[in-house]
Amino acid sequence: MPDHGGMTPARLWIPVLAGVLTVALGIAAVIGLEWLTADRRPTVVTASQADAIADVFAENQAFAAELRRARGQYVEAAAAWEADAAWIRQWREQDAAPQPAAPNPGGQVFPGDDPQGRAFLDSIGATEVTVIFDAGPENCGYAGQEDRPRFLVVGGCYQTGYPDWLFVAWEPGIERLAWPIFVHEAMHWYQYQNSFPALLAAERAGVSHDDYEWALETDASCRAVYQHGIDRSAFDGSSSPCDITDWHDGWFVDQLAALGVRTSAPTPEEFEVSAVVRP
Amino acid sequence: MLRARRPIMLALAFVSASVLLTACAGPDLDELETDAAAIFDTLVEAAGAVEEGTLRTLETTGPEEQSCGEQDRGTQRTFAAVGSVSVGADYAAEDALVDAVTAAIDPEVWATIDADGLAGREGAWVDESGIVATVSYESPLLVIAVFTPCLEAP
Repeated sequence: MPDHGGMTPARLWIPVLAGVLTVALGIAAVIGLEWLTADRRPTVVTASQADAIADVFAENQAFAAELRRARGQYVEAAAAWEADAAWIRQWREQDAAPQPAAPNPGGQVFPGDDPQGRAFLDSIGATEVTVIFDAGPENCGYAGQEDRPRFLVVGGCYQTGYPDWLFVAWEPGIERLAWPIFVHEAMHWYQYQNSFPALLAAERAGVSHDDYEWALETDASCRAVYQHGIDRSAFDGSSSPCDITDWHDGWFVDQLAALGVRTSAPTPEEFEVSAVVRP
Repeated sequence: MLRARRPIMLALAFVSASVLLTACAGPDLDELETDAAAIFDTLVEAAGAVEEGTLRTLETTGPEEQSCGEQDRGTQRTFAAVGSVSVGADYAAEDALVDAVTAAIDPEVWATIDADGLAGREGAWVDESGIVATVSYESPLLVIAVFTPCLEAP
């Protein structure tokens, strides 16, 4: 009889079964542990969650459309204002100079102690501005007047084609009005230095030069009167009388605003469709 | 010897069962709502801190209870906030707004999940307990939503 170390073949199943059970239990334990520690968090937004979010967007659809429209209007207005500002920057860099066409009958100097108007121009910041004493066709204020007997002509012109030039001319005998006309034209230069964006905005808004010409001329004369000591009577009977009593700095811009013209850069606040809201 | 081991085996079985039951039970909906409210408040606070020149309005709703899961047998609670940008906010400001809100998501706690089906864009995250937080931006609207997990009644 063979020696089986004290264990009969019939009893061999015990260690084999024990081994199998041990392995099976081990596998079960690993699987169970993995099951217990598995990351069961969602890996994707569920349909109900996506629907809930879509509902919030849908509920605010009309408001969003209104806001998009307002944003478009603001962007358009801001772009137009910036385009005008860029155009003005280029305009200021122009150095076009007029050519004398017809000598000023009154001479080449102003009567008084500032014969070229230099001190006055410097005092208002017009350091680059020069006066041309010319009675030619580009002096719109002088050339536009009829030549009548016993009628002395004095006139000036500021035109944007020559950003740094003022035209002045007068006939001998009316020297007393040469300086007031010069100051009036210098005030036109001042208007374009300070209100040109609003004037371009007027053009965009379909408000023509004819619509605001009265205000432009009145403002130039009244600024000369109210801020630079010119006697109001100097402009009486001219094409540009100062015939108002409520002039103030900003008066001209107010007149443009009254015509529906934008007079300052667009701000988001003007276009917002709702108040500020916080929880 | 076999008799001596029985109490130990029973104790081990009891402990294992307890651990298993605890793992299966999990937090209830009210507890989850409290946690969801915390992350929602954090996100809303981050959005509310963005200047008014960028984020003009911000309003919150919730928690609201919704049906979910298979055949709508489950329940989830939802917090939502909707904001709108200023007319002056440009693309860069919109991007900065979304960045400011999503920066409040702690990547140590929140794992990114697939948000392809989501309205708008930006993202969705989930925490250990299954709370889902989403930030969606579809110009000009910002939507912040936080969901508790969908729990089915026992």
